[in-house]
Amino acid sequence: MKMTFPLEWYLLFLVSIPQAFLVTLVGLSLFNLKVPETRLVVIAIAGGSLSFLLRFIPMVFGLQIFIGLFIMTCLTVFVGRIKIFPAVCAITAGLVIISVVETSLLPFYLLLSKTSFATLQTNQLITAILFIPEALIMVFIYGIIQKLKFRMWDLNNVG
Amino acid sequence: MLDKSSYIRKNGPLITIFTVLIQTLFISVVILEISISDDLQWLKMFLPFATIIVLFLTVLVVLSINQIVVNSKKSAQAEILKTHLDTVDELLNTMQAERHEYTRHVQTVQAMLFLEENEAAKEYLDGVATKYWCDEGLTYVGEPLLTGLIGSKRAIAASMGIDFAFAIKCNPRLLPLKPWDLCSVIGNLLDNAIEAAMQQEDNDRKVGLEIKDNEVDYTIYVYNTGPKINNLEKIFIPGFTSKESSGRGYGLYIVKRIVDDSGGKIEVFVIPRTTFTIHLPKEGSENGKTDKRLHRNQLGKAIGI
Repeated sequence: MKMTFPLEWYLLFLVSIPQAFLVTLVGLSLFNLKVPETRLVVIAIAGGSLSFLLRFIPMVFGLQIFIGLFIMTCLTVFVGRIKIFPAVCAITAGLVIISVVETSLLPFYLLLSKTSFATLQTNQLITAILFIPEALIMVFIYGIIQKLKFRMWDLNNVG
Repeated sequence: MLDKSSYIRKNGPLITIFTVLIQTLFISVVILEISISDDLQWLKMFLPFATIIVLFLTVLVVLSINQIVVNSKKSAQAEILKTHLDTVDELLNTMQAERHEYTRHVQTVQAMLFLEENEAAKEYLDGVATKYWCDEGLTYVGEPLLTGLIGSKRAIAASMGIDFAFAIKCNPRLLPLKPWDLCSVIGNLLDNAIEAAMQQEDNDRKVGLEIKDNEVDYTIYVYNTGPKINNLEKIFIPGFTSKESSGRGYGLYIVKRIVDDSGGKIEVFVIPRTTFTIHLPKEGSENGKTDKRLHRNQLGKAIGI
């Protein structure tokens, strides 16, 4: 089975933190939960950093997603001042979307670049480059959500 | 235990959404694992547990959806009862205002008679009698809730200068609808009729209600003058409304649902005037449903059928 591998330091700023930010942003918007931008950035930086450090602990690949869910939820509850269950739902929704995007794009990456997953371990700059379309798609999804005012369930910050 | 079950009732939809999301996340991770793994042997060992987890989550979703449906029904019933309470409240206010007026008229006439202004008192009484000629107060129509509703709508129509006529030509208790459902149906139709009639000129504002016992079914007619309805095929769709308010558009949907549930049907005509016709089956007819809410006096006959 595949195990997680540690990431290069620059991926903290190029991938981990932006990914945490997008997950939180999209997740909260799906439930109409409002968090001030500064707190959102704090959650993203803290969450991204902790997820980045998590990669240094060897574990089954995929488990880090669920641990990351727990970390981001705690941060959203304590920093974003959102109640627990709505925070869990929001972060889970964000993670689902980014996981689906990543899972959908990964085979194309590997096919187009004629590489394997193992190459990503050795040449991690590719990971940063491959994150760009993922981030663009997440931003696009966020735009659609705001434009259409689409809500999975409107919690309107009542928690 | 009570708090836990009420928490589940309150957050049912959110629990359902969360369960579906976790399921999707779980499946995404498994797919990602399959994409990147060279050796799937370990995954094959894990798959039975994965199936059990997905099955468990699916059961949770189904239970939550059932709870949501139950909650929705209770919400709808509460909404209907609230509407009736509002109607009764309106009626009480109208009656209070009329009583106030009545008291004032009596005091005025008393004062005039005390001052021996008999001619003036007679003239005053003639004027008052003419004004309230058509205002006969409550007319009992055989069912208290319906009586209250009709009284309230009549008062509202009168205040808006609408000529409201009604004829209840059968016992409303025999209709295959619960009293509050009947009031919901008629109330919603009359509200729409009154709003449409208001758009007519002052001397052509008419709204009518008739309930009659035909040979084959009970028929309810609600008609009004006013602009013709456009988009006839859409009027029963929930949320569809010609009004600007975002909370509108559910009245006719509720009417249709109640009528359909009772085995009846609803028709809409726009010529020569807008008319909603509801046909409700009689007991024992092909489409009729057993009416468990028969009046006590009718119960013996029902047993004999």
